[in-house]
Formats: sequence, C-alpha cells, structure tokens
Amino acid sequence: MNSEHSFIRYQITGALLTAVGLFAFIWMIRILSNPQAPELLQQGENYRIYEQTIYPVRGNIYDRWGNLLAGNLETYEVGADLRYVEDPETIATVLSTHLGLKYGDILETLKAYSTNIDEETPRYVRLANFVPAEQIALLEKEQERLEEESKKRRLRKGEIAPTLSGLQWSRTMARYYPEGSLASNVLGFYAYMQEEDARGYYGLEEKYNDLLTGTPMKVRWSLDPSLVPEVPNLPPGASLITTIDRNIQKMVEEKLDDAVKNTGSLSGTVIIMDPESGEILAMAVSPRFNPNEYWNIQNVFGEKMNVNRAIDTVYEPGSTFKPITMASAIDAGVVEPSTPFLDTGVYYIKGHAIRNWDRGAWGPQDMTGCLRYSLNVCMAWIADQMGTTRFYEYVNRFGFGHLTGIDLAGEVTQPYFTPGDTYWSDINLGTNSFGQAIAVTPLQMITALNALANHGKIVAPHVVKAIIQNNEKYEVSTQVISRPIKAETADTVSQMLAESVESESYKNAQVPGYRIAGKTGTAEVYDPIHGGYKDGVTNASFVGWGPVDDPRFIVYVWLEEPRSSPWGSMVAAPLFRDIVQGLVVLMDLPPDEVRWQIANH
Amino acid sequence: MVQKTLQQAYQQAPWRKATRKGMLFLILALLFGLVIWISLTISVESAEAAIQINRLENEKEILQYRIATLNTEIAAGSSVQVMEERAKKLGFRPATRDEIVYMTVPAYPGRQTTLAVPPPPSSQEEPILIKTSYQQSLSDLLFQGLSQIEKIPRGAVP
Repeated sequence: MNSEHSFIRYQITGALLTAVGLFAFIWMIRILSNPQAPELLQQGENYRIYEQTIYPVRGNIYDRWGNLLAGNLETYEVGADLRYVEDPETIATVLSTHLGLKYGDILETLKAYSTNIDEETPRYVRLANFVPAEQIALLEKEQERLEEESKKRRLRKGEIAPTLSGLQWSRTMARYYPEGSLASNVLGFYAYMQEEDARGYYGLEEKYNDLLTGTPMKVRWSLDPSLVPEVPNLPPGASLITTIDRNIQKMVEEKLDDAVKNTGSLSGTVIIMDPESGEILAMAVSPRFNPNEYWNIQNVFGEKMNVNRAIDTVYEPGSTFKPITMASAIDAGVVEPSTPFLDTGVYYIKGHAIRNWDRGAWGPQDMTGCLRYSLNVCMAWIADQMGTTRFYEYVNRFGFGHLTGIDLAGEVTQPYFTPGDTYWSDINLGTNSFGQAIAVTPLQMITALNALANHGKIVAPHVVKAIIQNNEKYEVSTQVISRPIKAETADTVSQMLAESVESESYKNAQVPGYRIAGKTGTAEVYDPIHGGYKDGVTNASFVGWGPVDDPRFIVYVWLEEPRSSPWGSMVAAPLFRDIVQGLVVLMDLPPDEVRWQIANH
Repeated sequence: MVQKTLQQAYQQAPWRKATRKGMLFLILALLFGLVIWISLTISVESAEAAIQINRLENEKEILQYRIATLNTEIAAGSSVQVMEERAKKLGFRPATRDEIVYMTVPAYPGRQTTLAVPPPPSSQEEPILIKTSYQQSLSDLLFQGLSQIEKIPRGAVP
C-alpha cells in the first residue's frame, strides 16, 4: 500500500517537474518569437558587451635606402579621474612644474568638477595631451616620491598627505619626422592633434592617407571576465619606401637655401629625377616647413600655402621651353640641326613683333646656335614654320596642360590657350615657342624635357618606390606615359644642348669631367594685379641632364624673382653646377673618361 | 523460513530505511557539490585566463608602441644632420671629386636598401585560436538552438 502511495507521489512530482520544464520551454519560445525580442536581446548585449574601435599604428615612410623619414612616437594623455582626486593643489603644482601647464587653470578645472559631482559631471577630465614619455617619467618619479613621503609621515586627524591620487596618463601615438624639415614638401604632415579626425595633409601623407592609416577595426569586448575575449591582431598601416635619397635631398636643400639667400629670390625649387625610371631622387623647395611643428605652417607660407612649389605653383618657364620647340620642329621634319637662320633681331607673326632677350640681332645661325644663344626670334620663326596645329599638337604630346599624375597630393596644372580660345591670339604662337604666355609647374617641365634625355619617352614621375603591406613588398614599376618624339630626335636635341653647354656662354653650368646637356631660362613674370609683365623681374631656371651618352640624372632648377641678377645663366646655372658636383659624388658617378675606361676594361 | 523472515525484518527495519535514504541524499548532495565545484573551477580558470590574455595583449601593445618609438628615436639619432655633425666632430669632411678613386669590384651588387621591415603582422586568414564554444556560457549553449529556430524562415529546410 505504502509503495503504491510512494509511486503515485513520484509520478505526481515527476509530472509537475515536467510541466514546469515544458512551461519554461514554451515560455522561452514565446519570448524569443516576440517582435520585441531582437531589440531586447540587443539591449542585453549592450549591457554585457562594449564596442571599441581600434586604430592601427600608422605606417612609416622611408627614403630609398631604408632611412626613416616619418615614424611614430609614444606620447601620453594626462587626465584626472575626479572620483579619486584628493589633493588638487598638489596635482596642479606637479603639472605646472613638469609639464609647464598653468597652475591656476588646472586647479580651477579640478575644483570646478570636484565640488559639484552629479550624474552629468564627467568622471574624467583631460588636462594635457601628447605629453612626451620623458615628462611622464618625471611624473612617475614625483608620484613615487610622494608615496614614500606619505608612508613616513604621521598625519594629524583630518590631514591629507600630498598625493597625486586621481591623476592618470594613457598612451597615445604622435607622428614624428626624425629628419625635421628635410623633404617636408614631399612628405606633408599628419595632423595627429586632431585625434579622431586626424589625417594627412599635403604630399605623401595626404595622397596615401588611407594606406598609411590602415583599416581600423571594431572590437566587441565582454564585460564578463569569464568569457575569453578574442583579441584581433591588427596589422599596422602600410609603409612607404620612397625614391628620395635623403643625402641627395639634404645636399640639394642646403645648396638651394644658400642660393635663395644669396640671390635674394622669393623662393627656390629643385627637382632631380632618374631619366629612365622617373624616380624622383630629390625634390627640394625653399622655404620649407617643419612637419614636427605643422601648426606653424601658415607662418612659413602665409595665405597661399604653396607647400610644394614643384607641383602646386605654375609659372612661365621661359627659355627652358625652347628645347621642346626645337625637338618638335626636328621631329616634324620642319628643321634639322644644320638648318640656317638669319637673325635680324625681329620676327613678325601676323604683324606682332618678336624680339630677342637682348633686343639684338645675332646674324647667321644654325639651329644649335639658336639654342646656344637662346634666340626668341629663331624660335618664333620655327613655330611659325610648323604652323599652329602641329606646334600645339606637340605641346600637347609633351604633356603640357595635363597633370603628370605624380603620387603626391596637391598637383596643379593650368591649361594653355590654343587657336579658337578667347584669349589666344596669333602672337601666342611666337611667345609660346620660347616659354612665355604658357604656365607650367616645374614638375611638368622636367617630365616633358626628360623625353629628350630618355630617348623620346616620357615616363611617369613618382615618389613611391615600394609599398610594404602585410609584410609584403609591392614594387612600383616604371610607366612610360607617351613617346612624343622619335628617339633619334631626342638624341639629336640632347647633343645640340650638350654642345651649347660646352660653349663659353654656359661656363657657369659646366661640370668638369662630365658632358652635360642643358638650357637656361629667363622668363618675364606676369603681373596679375596690373596686367602685363613686371618690370625688371624675372624667373630664372635651368634644366640639365648627364652624362649625355648615358643620362643618370636630370635636374631642374627654378629661382623665383632673383634680385642679384635676372638671368638664368647667372643665378640658376651656378646652382645647377653646384648641385651636379655634389650629385655625382653621392651617386658614385665617375667622370666620363673614367667611366669609359671602366667600360672598356 | 525463519531465516527468510529475519532477512525481511532486517531489510524493513526503520533505521535501515533511514540510512538508505540518508546515503542517497548524501550521494546526490556530493554529486551536486561536484558539479558546482567543477563549474566554479572552470569559470575561475577561464576568467583568470581571460585576464591573463588581456594583460598580455596590453603588454604586446605597449611593446609595439615601444618598438615604434625606439625605431623613431634611432632614426632621429642617426638623421643626416646629427650624423654630419658627429662626422665633423670626428674630423671627417666631404670628399671632393678629385680625391675619389673609382675602381671596379667584380660581383659587387651596388648599394642595397637596408630596411628594417616592420614585424610580421597577422593576416585575416590567420586561424582563430579560441574556439567559439569556449566563449559561450551555459545559457548560450542551451538557448542557441532556440534562437536559431527563430531565424529559420517558414517553409525552409534547415
């Protein structure tokens, strides 16, 4: 009887438990099938999990030999957790002593919040940011000292020992350029102080901002310590290896700074390129800014902010354009080097007179003579012989009016006028032939003229040699953009320009031991305010490449409005010579004779 | 017969019954305690491991920052300007072109890039070391099936 009762009891208990289980199960299904369930589940998740965006370490920038040009430096944010601040006076004293902050400001901040703590009061206030590690080390020492002292000291009732309790510091990264202002026009800067909105400005930092930044990742952290967090291994941003040689860049910048100072120029620009690959070995401007103090950039450049005049400023190049006209005419079969020309000192294009730079008549010349003595009259005649259609077709083929596509932010171009445009008149054909009334950037000039050094091929100028991403190196290959002229034409003009440089008129550009091809440029400067050209003000340029039989470098020099002399041959040519003299040493380039001996050995 | 009766009486003795029930309760309590103990041990160990992982991750981050900083500091210490000044102090000066002697060195590859490539970062394809099941709580495990059912559209074959 008892066992029967027990059995029934067990059955009832079992049934009840099953019913409760079943009920719970059904109730759970009901909850989960409720339309509000996903929202509520999400709310639950929010209490359990918090999301954080992790930013990768910004990629580095190196020169062509692996020397660091832009890297990262550990800095700290200093703040206070107001819940634990006991002694605001001591914090203010220590921070004003070691970080140079204002005592009153800190004290005011700490007291303002500490005396009025409610729900809306922030628990944390930032007191300083991007504090160098050395200063943090001082704070740490100070903290230790105060702790030691408070242990030794006997406190009276209600007395608080001097303490930094509540003071905190956390790690942040700042961008640092170990070479200072070296190549700052190429590098640009990273405005790290903008924190969440930090990004690169100008040069490589802007152009490759996304690559250098890498891909930020959102990570969900659980507040439950028993749940093992899966921490992603965030790859750093891509690093760039540039084509810049820091030693060449330094040498060029030094010489350019001296030249700008000595000639009283407004600014100076020098570009050195490898003619075959289009790699920029150096791109120097004067003045420059220090990217480590990028906030002062406007003090250097003023409102215009032409940070890199090699690419962001157009000017009328003057006679350095003449090799383009000559090459076009030879390539089109209009003239050849021996073609005679009688310079009477004036040439009329549809009634407009074109005169030489010295207003003189240079008598019988051949085409080499026209280049050697930089005769405007001869160039205008050549352009007239070519005709507008062919002349402008060649100008277009050489890439004028188009961006070169260099991998730097901020490149500009200015279209030139052609027949049919409102502002084009017949005289433009004449003036364009010797580089006036056409505005170009120094980079456009060196890219176009490089076709003469590179057997008729225009190669894309570039500053990035390789990209390192996810520990893999991606090389940037040479890109031939176009072939505006035949190789024979290029070699012919190159020889003509080499003969010019060997003459007495070019003695300031000659580099003993090396055969160089080159051309001076002296251009009048357009006055945008009053119209017409400024009186007695010029832009002086020089372009040259060498060794002529196997060009390894092409150098473009531009001095803006020099005061010591208006002539390119007097101010730009000597700078070119000085640069090439340093360049051949840094490039391990032996004099021609030694090179030929080695080659024949 | 007597032996059988005695055996029955012995088995039905109240103290005998009470002992049996007590033993059963004790075994159940022990089993329950064992389950609790195992569960707590696992929870504590996984929490400890998680904290340890966090600490190591922080340490790794600090070291990465430190490496980046040291590399930058090395670069600053060996910048062109610093090196030039140091060389001048040591009595060096730039060579002039006349002082340079060029010679052919057979098989010399020329100057090479000496770039300290950054430490290998992990790629997205890196295998995940922590299995998802280790990150689930008991309730996650139990009700995971139910949530999945909700997600299956009507008429669909799971």
